[in-house]
Amino acid sequence: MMAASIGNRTDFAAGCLFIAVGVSTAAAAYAYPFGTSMRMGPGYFPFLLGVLLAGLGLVLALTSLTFTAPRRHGPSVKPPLIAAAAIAAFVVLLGLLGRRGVTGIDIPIIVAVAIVWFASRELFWVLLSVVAFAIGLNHLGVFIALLLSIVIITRASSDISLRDLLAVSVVLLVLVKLAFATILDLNLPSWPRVPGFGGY
Amino acid sequence: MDLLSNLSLGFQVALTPASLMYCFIGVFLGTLIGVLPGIGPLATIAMLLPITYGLAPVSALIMLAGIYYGAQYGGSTTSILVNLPGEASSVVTTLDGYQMARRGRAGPALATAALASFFAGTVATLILAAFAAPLTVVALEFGPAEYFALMVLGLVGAVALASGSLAKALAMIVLGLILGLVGTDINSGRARLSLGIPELLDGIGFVIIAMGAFGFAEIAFNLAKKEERSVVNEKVLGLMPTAKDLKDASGATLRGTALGSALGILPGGGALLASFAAYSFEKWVAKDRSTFGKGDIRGVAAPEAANNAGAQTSFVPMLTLGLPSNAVMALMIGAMMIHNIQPGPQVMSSNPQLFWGLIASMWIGNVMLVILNLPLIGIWVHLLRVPYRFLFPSIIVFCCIGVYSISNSTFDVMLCVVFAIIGWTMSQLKCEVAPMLLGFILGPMMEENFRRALVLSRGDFTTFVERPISVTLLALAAILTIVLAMPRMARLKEKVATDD
Repeated sequence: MMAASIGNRTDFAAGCLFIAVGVSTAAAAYAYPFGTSMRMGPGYFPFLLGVLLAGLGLVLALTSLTFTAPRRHGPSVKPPLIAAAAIAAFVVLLGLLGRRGVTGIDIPIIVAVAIVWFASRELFWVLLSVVAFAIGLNHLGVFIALLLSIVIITRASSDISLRDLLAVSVVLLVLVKLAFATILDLNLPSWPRVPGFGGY
Repeated sequence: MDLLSNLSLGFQVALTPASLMYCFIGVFLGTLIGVLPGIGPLATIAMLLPITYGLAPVSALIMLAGIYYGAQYGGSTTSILVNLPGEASSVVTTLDGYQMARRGRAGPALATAALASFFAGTVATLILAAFAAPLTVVALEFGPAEYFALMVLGLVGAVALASGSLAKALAMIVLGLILGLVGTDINSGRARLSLGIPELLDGIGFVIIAMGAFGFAEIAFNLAKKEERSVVNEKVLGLMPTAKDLKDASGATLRGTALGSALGILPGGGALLASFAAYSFEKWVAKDRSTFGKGDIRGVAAPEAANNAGAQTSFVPMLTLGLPSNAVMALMIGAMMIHNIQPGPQVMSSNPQLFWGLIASMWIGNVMLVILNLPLIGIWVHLLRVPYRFLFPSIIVFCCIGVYSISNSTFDVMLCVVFAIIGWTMSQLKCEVAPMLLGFILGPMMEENFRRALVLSRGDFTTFVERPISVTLLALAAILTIVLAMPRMARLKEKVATDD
């Protein structure tokens, strides 16, 4: 008899991830009052869902196995697994550190984004620009935060020149000022906060 | 004549200046994003949701709906002129539409697409109006057990017609259901799965999930794959189709409309499935199928009629039952909830202006789309040439500000990053993200009905199989799952998805 081997790596990896999330959910739900089926506690339904997810993950993982010689392999599963590790790191760090920093979750997010670098450069630059906007907004005001964010995001594409960058920035900043701050009257901090000079 | 009085109420609402303006903004934006590469109706609606907070609910929904069906028109323009579908639902239009354009018949192809879409849109609006009332009456009889069963069927049905592995799609739904439970349990007041973050006590905002998983993750995808667009160079001359074109296209339009309307109502249906099915069906009924793929006008008319009809009839389950049949409808439900309208059968009686106004606005929107798309085609052709490198910084900026503006919170923007990573990871593992969004929307409702049903039955699970409607719905869901799990079916599905 031949030993089982992984025929479809993508399905196998997805199955394992679903099992991990399902088991964690069920474990977390188990800590809440369970109740009875007539008077359900907060843990009842999430526990069921966690078990269901783990079960589906198991089916997926098992059906990806093959007993014949390994067939053609799909695309590499390394990048998505690294990204999954980034999410896991986020959850663990959040549990360890609690809420702190400007947005409450700065450090876990920055660590997660840093890990994403090893999964996909494009995703990394996109996410870094979002992070720059979020953290910059409170301190630097919307214009500088956006400029920072645009400069970072253009790193994701090689075919954008300095002139394009300037054009995009100017158009966007004007548009944001007109559309969001003026017409929609959004409460956006516009300029950096300088200590001693009060506000925006 | 109930229908007539309802429709006239609808037109009174839809013809107010405010409604007309938001309808126009909606269909204009819809056409625009349909034409522009790399941004679809889902991401656009997610982006614009925060902005609609300040609008009247009717205006907000009219505008968002306009984006969805408007995108079907815009998407066909790129399919015909560039051989690149602006929207997934216009993929099949590329087969014959682009061939027509290459033979110098871009004008008639565009005109046929627009007119077929308009005809289909008109019929679908009437179907929506006619179906809504009876379905609502049935749905009002439903108890919690029936609702739970209906949601199970809706969710299974939603993935039944999608491509890819059944186990994966079901798992993504369950993942969405779990995410939907994050926050305070309304019965016990206890925080669940919130990782100790106070911002999560109210649950995860679904704009955050949609924007992260669809907006940011998609940009990363588009950046990773380089694509070149070359527009057909011939001038678009002479829009009018010939008499022979009209004769050929009319039958195809009728069949496409019928098929699209029917498929749109089904859970999991909508524009995408409708267009594929209509094209296959057209090939099947044709006496001589050798012309398909070489610029046959029927291959343009049928899928274009079907995708527009499907886009509109997919509002039926959303408006009458509160059940989203696809991810865009899930966003529409979210938009209603933002405006404190509980989706479900009671919407028609509690908000008749909204209900009928939205339906009537769809027809008006279709009229606007024909005007926008035929005489103004030149403008859209220019927009086709906008390179993606100018677009993606703008999309990111608008997403960031949009998320921030929901509750002036940079925490929300940061949380988007997490869902972008999740969305990206799952797509890399060939798991579709849309079912997750459906599960997320339905999660809390499902738990609520599940709990209530069991309270009413004193904890007896047989309540789900003792009540006739509930057991029928659950049996249908079970049969659907089993049929889909069979290997033959899986192969057939793959064949339909890749058939051209």
